[in-house]
Amino acid sequence: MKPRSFFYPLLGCLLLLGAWELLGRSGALGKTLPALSQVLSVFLDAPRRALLLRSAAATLGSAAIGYAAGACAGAAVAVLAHLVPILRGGLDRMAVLVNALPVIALGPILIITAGREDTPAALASVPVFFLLYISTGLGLRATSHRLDLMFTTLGAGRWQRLMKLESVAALPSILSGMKIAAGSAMIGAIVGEWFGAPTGLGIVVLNSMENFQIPLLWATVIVIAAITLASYGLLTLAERAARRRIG
Amino acid sequence: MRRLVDLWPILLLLLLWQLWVSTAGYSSIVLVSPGAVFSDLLRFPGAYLLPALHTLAFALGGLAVGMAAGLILAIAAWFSEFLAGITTPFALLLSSTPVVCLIPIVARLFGYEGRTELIAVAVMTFFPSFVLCAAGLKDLPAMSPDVFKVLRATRWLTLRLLALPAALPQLAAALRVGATYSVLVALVAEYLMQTGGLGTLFAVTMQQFHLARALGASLLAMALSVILYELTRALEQRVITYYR
Repeated sequence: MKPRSFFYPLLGCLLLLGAWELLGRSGALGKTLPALSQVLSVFLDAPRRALLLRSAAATLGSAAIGYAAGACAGAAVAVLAHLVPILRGGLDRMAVLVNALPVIALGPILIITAGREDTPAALASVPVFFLLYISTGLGLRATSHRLDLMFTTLGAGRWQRLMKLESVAALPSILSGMKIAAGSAMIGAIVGEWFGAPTGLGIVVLNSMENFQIPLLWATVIVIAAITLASYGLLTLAERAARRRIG
Repeated sequence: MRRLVDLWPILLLLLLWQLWVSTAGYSSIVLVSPGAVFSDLLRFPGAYLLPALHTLAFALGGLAVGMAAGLILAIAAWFSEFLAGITTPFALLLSSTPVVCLIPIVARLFGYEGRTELIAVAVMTFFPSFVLCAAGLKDLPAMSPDVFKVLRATRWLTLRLLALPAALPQLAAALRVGATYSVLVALVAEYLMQTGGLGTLFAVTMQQFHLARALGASLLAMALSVILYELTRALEQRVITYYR
């Protein structure tokens, strides 16, 4: 890496943070843009920190449940479509459609079917399901044809090929799907909370927006961004490790 | 015909929904059948038309502004390594954070008005546009930059004759990503600020327990998003085949 290609982004970060602090202090954009230091001081305030932690746990919980359920179901259906090719056309088409759906439009439907408390998890699971369906399917089909032939020649059955060859070959693609799905799950959980969940970061965002608690609003968004970035980063590392080993 | 057969999962979902409603026997405050939703859509198209147009107009307007701004900044970053460097963290940060959660902040900054919706859509479609356009402008055919250098083409000429045409597939991809994004952001903004449009329609009708209308608005919003997506995807396919 060139030193410059490292230096400029760093400078960009500092410029962004500096401009934020100055703009906030000058009050040019009114009270809605508090200085960075003011936002960070929210984290030092014990009751608010407790509120944020509690809400983050709730949101993370429903996002994780939705993520796990959606990912397992998506991968399972992809394997099914891989084994029963006649299903593939319809499921592929459905996956493309759902990928184009605005998650918020599913809210009214999920409130009725899943209830207000489970809507965040349900809404998180929908995009995850289809992302994992697509990435698992792509991965399973990416198996090297020659290895497939070799397995068949050596007498491996359909099940053995799936477990010992195809599912291993699909791993990098699956992890790449899981990486993208992490952000979708967070969006789904937060938008789901906007439909009337009892607690969560989405509720804090809404309440602080309506009650003009601007530093708290910014602090909450920072927490959300941090959670998403952290999960994205972790899964990127996992994907790279898998690509190195399996390639 | 093949495409119609491929719609079976949707029909299956509708059938399950209908079966569930007819066996559960809830009142229409709790649960409505797909039939009731479609008949509300057909019987009162006037109630949906204006909100749908509102959402469409704000989504497309914001998309145009966001795409243009993204392209212009990507070109600026193409000219200047400095600018490209300092914008990297912004692009990285914003392409991996759930920007939908920024809408409440945009709402507070610009007030609960129509223009806020437009700004929100523009801001959030700007990021994919900028990231993809910047990548496209750099992804040149092998050796072609050398040809332009040997022929002493100016930076400007290289942009016009080489980089911009080479970036067209990525521009089309940016449009496709941005199109579905724009409907999502417009709906969320309408839902949160109640400035009109389908998002407001389903927010309001949910509170009135008018479920058939709420679900109708939600289905219409989905259809809108899917149509925009399919149109932009078809455009992208044409661009890609043209390039092969």
